[in-house]
Amino acid sequence: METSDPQEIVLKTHGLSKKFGERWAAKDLNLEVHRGDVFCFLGPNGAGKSTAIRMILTLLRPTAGSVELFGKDLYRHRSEVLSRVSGIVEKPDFYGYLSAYKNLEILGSMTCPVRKNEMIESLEMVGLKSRAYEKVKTFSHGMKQRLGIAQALLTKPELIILDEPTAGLDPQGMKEVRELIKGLSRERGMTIFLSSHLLAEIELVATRMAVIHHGELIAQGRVSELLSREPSDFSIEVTPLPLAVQLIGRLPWAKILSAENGRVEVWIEPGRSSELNRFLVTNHVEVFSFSPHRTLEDFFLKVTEGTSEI
Amino acid sequence: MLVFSFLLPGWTAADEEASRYLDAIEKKYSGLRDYTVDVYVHFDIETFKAPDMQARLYFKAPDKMKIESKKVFFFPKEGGYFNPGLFKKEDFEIKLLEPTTEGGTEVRLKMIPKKKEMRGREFVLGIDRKNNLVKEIAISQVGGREAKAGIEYDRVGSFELPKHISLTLEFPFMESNEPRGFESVEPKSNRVTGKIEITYSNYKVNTGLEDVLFKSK
Amino acid sequence: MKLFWFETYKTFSRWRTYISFSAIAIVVIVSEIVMKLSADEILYRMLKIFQKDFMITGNVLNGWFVGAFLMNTLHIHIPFLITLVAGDMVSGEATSGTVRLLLIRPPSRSRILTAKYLTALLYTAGLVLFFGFVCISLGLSLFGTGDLVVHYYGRVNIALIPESEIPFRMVLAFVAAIWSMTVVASLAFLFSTLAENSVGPIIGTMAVVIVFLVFGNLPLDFFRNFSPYLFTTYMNLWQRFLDDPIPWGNITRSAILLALHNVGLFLIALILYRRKDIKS
Repeated sequence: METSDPQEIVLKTHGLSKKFGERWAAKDLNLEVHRGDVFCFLGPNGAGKSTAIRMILTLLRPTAGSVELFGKDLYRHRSEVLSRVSGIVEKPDFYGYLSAYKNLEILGSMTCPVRKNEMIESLEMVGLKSRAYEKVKTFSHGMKQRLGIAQALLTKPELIILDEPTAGLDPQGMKEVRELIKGLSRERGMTIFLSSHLLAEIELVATRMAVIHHGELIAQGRVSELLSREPSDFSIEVTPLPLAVQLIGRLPWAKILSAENGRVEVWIEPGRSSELNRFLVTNHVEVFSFSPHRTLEDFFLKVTEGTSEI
Repeated sequence: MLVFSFLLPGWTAADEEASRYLDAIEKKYSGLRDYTVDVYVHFDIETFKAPDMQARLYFKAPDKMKIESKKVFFFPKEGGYFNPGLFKKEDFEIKLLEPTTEGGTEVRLKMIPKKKEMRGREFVLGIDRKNNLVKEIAISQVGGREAKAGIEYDRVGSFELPKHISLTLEFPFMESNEPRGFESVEPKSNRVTGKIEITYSNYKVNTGLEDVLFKSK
Repeated sequence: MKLFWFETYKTFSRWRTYISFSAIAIVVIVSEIVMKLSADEILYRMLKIFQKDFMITGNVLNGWFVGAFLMNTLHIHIPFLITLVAGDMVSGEATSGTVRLLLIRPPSRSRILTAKYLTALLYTAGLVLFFGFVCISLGLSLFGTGDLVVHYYGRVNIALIPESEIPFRMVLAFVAAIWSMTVVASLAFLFSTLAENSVGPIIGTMAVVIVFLVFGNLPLDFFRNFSPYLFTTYMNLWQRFLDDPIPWGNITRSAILLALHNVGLFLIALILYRRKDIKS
C-alpha cells in the first residue's frame, strides 16, 4: 500500500471496524483520502462500503478504530469537522410534505446559515430551479438524487461523501452525475469520496481508489498505479501485422485477442512483456508501440479473487 | 336529611296532648299568608366545600316557595324554610316522648310519616310549649343519616319567625375507587359530620305575593 | 433554538398533525351541543345524590361546569392523540429515510433529539390547551357563566368554586393537565427512538397507558401499593385545582413524580439513541 504526505490527507481511518453480532461487516480499514481526490471506494454488494461510509458519517458506531477528518478525531470534534463535510448515504430521502426549497433550508441551515440565493443557485445547478417550491413527494427518483446533490453542495463542503450516487439513474443521469463530480473536483477543488460497484463509472472519474471485499481492504492507491502493476493485456502497434500474428501465435505463453489496423491486442503471461518485444524485433517485426492494456474490471476481479499481490 | 318543617301528627290513635301542642302552633301561624326573607347559608361539612351563599326566599301559603340567587345556591330541602302549612297532624303518627328542659325544650314528639314518599324517616320535635315554638328537630333516615336542627326565633310584626337555624349532619362515608397517589388513603372514621348555619334577615311578611312569581323557573 | 424551530415547522406542516385537533374540536362541539339539548338530564344525573336533600338553583350548568365535565374525558382520548405525533417524532425519520440526511449534520444527536422532544412537548401542550380553549369558550357561549359545582359522580363530595376564582384555577388545572400528559408524550417519544416506524410506538404507548390505568383502578391492595408510582394515577391531577382547599402539597408531590418520569424517560431515550446504529 502506498503512503502519503499527511498534510494532504482529508479523511483517514485507523483500523476502522464494525461487527454486527458475530459477523464483521468491516474489519481493520485504513483509508487515506487526499485533498482534491476523487476517491472511489469499490466493492461488490455487501462488501462493507456502506458500512464504512456510515461509520465515517457517524450513522454507525465503530466496534473498533477511529476516523480523522481534516486531521481531527471525528468523535471528539464532531460538530467542527462535519460542518466541512456533506454526504448522501444510499438514496437521498427528503421531507416529501415540504418543498425542495424548504428541505434545503432546513437541512442546509443545520450546517451553516444559508441564504435564499444560495439555495436557488444550488437548485439551478442541478436543474431543479423551476421545481423549487413544489413538494418533494412529487419528484421522481432522479430528481430526488439531484436534489440530494444540491443539498450536499449547498454548504460548500470541503469533502463530499457519496454512497452509490448514480444508483437508480438512467444513463443520461449517470453521465450528468459523473460530469458534475469531475467538475467539482477540477473546478472547485472539492474532495470527493464515493462508493460504487460500477467499475466503468469509477474508471471514468476516480483518481484514487480502494477495494473492499468481505469487509476488508484489499487494495488502495492511485488508479493508474494500481492498474499498471500487473499488466497482462498489451496493445502492440506492429508491421507487418500478419507476420507478427503468425509469430505470436507460436508462443505458448501469449495469446492474440485481436489484430486489425496495424495493431494487435495480446495477452501475455506476467513478466514476459519484454521477452515478447525482443522476440518480435529479432524476427523482423517492427514494433512502434508496446503499451499495457489493463482495465479496472480485470484488476478488480483479480484482487477480489486473490490472484493479485499488492 | 333534615325535614325541620313543623310536621304535625296525624295518628288515628293520636295522643291528645301531643295533638294539642301541634294545634297551638298551627293556630299561632294561621295569619301568615306569605313572606320574603334574605337567606344566608354557611356550610361546614367535610365533603361539601362551598363559600357562604346568599339568596332571597319567597314563600306563599300553603306550600309555594321560590329561591332567587345570582349565583349557584344549595338550600336544604323540605325544611330550609319555614312553612306553617305543613302542620298537618293527620299526615303523621305522633307519640309523646319523655320531656326534657334542655335548650328551653319542654315537650318532645316522635313523628312517623304516613305518606309513602316520606317513609324511611323518623322525626323528633322539641317544642317550647310556653311559646308554642318548635325549637329543635332531629331526623333519622334509613342508611344511617342523621340530622339535628336548633332553631332561634325573632319577632317580625305579630309573628315569631326563624332568625337562625343550626343544622348538624352525620352520614356514612363513601369510599372512592379512584387510584390513589401518595396522600393518605384511609379515612379516620367511616362517617362524615358537618354543620349548616342558616341565617334569615330582612323579613317582609304578608306583602301579597302573586302566584305568577312562583311559576317562572 | 433553530433546531427546535425546524422540528416544530416540520411537525406542524403535516396535515396528520391536525387530525388530532380536528378530532378534539368535533368531540367537544358535538358533546356541548348535545349537553345543551339535554341539560336537564345532565343536571339530574350529576346531582341526583344531592337533589333529594337540597334545592339547587342558579346557573349550575354553565360554561365552566361543562368545561370541567368534558375535561374528565381528557385521559381517554388525549393520550392516543398525543402518541400519533410523539410516537412518530423519531421513528418517522427512519420510515421516510430522512434520518440519513439528518444525523450526518454537525448538530449532535443529543441536540437533535432534544429539539424533537421539546417539539413533542409543545404539541402536547398545544393539544391540551386547544381542548381547553374549545371546551371553555364554546361552553361559555352556549351556557353562560356562573359558579362551578365540582362533583364526582357517585360520591358525596362536592365543591363550589366561586366564579371569581375559576379562571385562575382553570389556568392551573390546564397546566397540570399538560404536565400529566407530557409523560405520555415522553413514553411515546422513547418508543419512537427504538422503532423504525411509528406503529410500534403508538401501540406500545397506548398499551402501557391502558395497562397502568387498569392496574391503578383495580380495588385490590396489591395494586394499590404501587399505584402511587404509576403516572396514570396522576392523569387527573388537574382536578386537584378544583378542590377546596387546593392541596398544594399533594399537587407538588405528584408534579415531582411526573417530572421524574419525564426526565427518566427522556434520558433513557437520549442514551439509547446516541448509541443506536442507523442501518435504515
